[in-house]
Amino acid sequence: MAPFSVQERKSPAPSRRDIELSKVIREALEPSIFLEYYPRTGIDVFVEILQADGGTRCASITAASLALADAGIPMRDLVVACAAGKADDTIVLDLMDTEDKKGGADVPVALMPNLNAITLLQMDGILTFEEFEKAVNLALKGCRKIYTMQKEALKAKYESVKEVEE
Amino acid sequence: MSSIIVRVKQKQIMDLIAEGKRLDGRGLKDYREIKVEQGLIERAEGSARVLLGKTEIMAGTKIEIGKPFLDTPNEGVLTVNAELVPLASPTFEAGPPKEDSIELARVVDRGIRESKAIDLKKLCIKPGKKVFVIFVDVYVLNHDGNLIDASALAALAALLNTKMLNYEIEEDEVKIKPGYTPLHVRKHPIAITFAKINDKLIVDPWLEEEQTMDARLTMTIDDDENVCAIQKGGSGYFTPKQVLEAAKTAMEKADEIRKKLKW
Repeated sequence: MAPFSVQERKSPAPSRRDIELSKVIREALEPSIFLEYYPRTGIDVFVEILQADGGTRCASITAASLALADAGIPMRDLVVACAAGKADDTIVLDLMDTEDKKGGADVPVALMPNLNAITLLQMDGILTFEEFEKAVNLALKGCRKIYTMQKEALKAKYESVKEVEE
Repeated sequence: MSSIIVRVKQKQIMDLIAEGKRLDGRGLKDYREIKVEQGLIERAEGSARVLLGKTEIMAGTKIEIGKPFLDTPNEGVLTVNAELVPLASPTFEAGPPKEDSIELARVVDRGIRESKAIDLKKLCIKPGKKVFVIFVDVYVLNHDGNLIDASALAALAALLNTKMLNYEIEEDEVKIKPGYTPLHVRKHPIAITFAKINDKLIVDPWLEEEQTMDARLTMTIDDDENVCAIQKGGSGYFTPKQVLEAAKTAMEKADEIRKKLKW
C-alpha cells in the first residue's frame, strides 16, 4: 500500500494487515490457476494500492485475476470479488471507507462464477444468520455483475489489438 | 517429513470421510476433548492453557499504560500476538512472525474485537493521552491441528482470568492503587473451524486432516448466535451452500462448547 493511499500516512513496509491480505488474496486466486501445469515455478502477483476507500482486497483480487488472464496463464475461471456489509442496519453492497468505519459488518467474497466456488470469505462485525445469508447472496450478485465487466475488459483488449492489425 | 506419512494416509482419510467417518473415530461434527486451565502464570495479569486433543496453547495477558490510537482517542488498546514456537511442530521455525502466525493472531483478535467482548471505552484513562493497553500473547506449545479454535479459546480464557490494576487520577497523574479488579468480559466469542475434505465439511480438523484438506473456514460466533468473524484459508474453495451450512453448524457447536465450559 502506498503511504499516501490512506488518511494517516502509512509506512511503506508491509504491516501485519498487509501480510494477511497478501495471504488471503493468494488463496483466493490459487484455486483458479492450473498450478499443476507449472511444477517448480513461482508465479508472482504484485498488487499496489494507490488509494484506499474500502473494498481494497476485493478490487485487488478482481484486478489480479484479470492480470493473470492477460498474462496468458491457464485458468479454470476468472476470480471476481465484491463485498457486502451492514451500514445502519441495512445490508448494502460494496461498503466504502466511511460506511465501513461505522462498524456494522463487512463481508468480502471472492467467486469463480462458472464453478460457483467461493475462494475468499471473510467477515468482521456482527450479523445474525439471516443477515449473513442476505449479505453473502448480495455479495455474490455483485460478483456476477463485475464478472461481466471483467470479461468485457479482456475482450476489449484483444478487439483493440485486432483493430491495430487490420 | 510428516508429509510422506500423510500422503499414504490421505486416501484413507478421504475415503473414511466419504462414509461419514474419521481416522480417529470421531463423527464429522465432533470436537476433540477440550480442557481449559486458568491462572497458571502468576506473573501474567491473566493466563490460560487450553488442550484441544493434543493441540496445546498457552495464552497470557499483560496490561500496560500507553497511548491510544489517533483515530480512537477515548478507547483502550487490545493487541493479540501469536507465536508458533519451534518445539510445537517440526514445521515451525524461530524468527520474525510469518504469515501463518500473523493470520492466527488476527483471526483471534477479530473474534474478540468484533464481538465487543472487551469494552475498550472503559480502558480509557485520559482521552487522547493515557489508556490501558491489553496484550494477549498466544503461544502454541503443540501443533496437532486447529490452532485457530484452540487459540481463540485460550485467549478468551486468559481474558476471563485477567485482573485489572486499580488506579486513581491525582493532579493529572495516574496513581496505581493496591489490589485488583477482574477485567469485565462481556461476550464469549467461540471460533469454529471447518475443513473441506472430499467435498464434505468436518469440524475441528486435526493435523493430518489439515494436511489433507482443500480449504478451511473459521466462523466465530458470539453468545447471541451472531456471526462476528469469518476467515477462509487454504487454496481450495467452498460453495455458497456449504458456507451457509457451516454458519448453521458453527452456531450449534459454539453453543455446545459454551455450555460445556459454562461460559
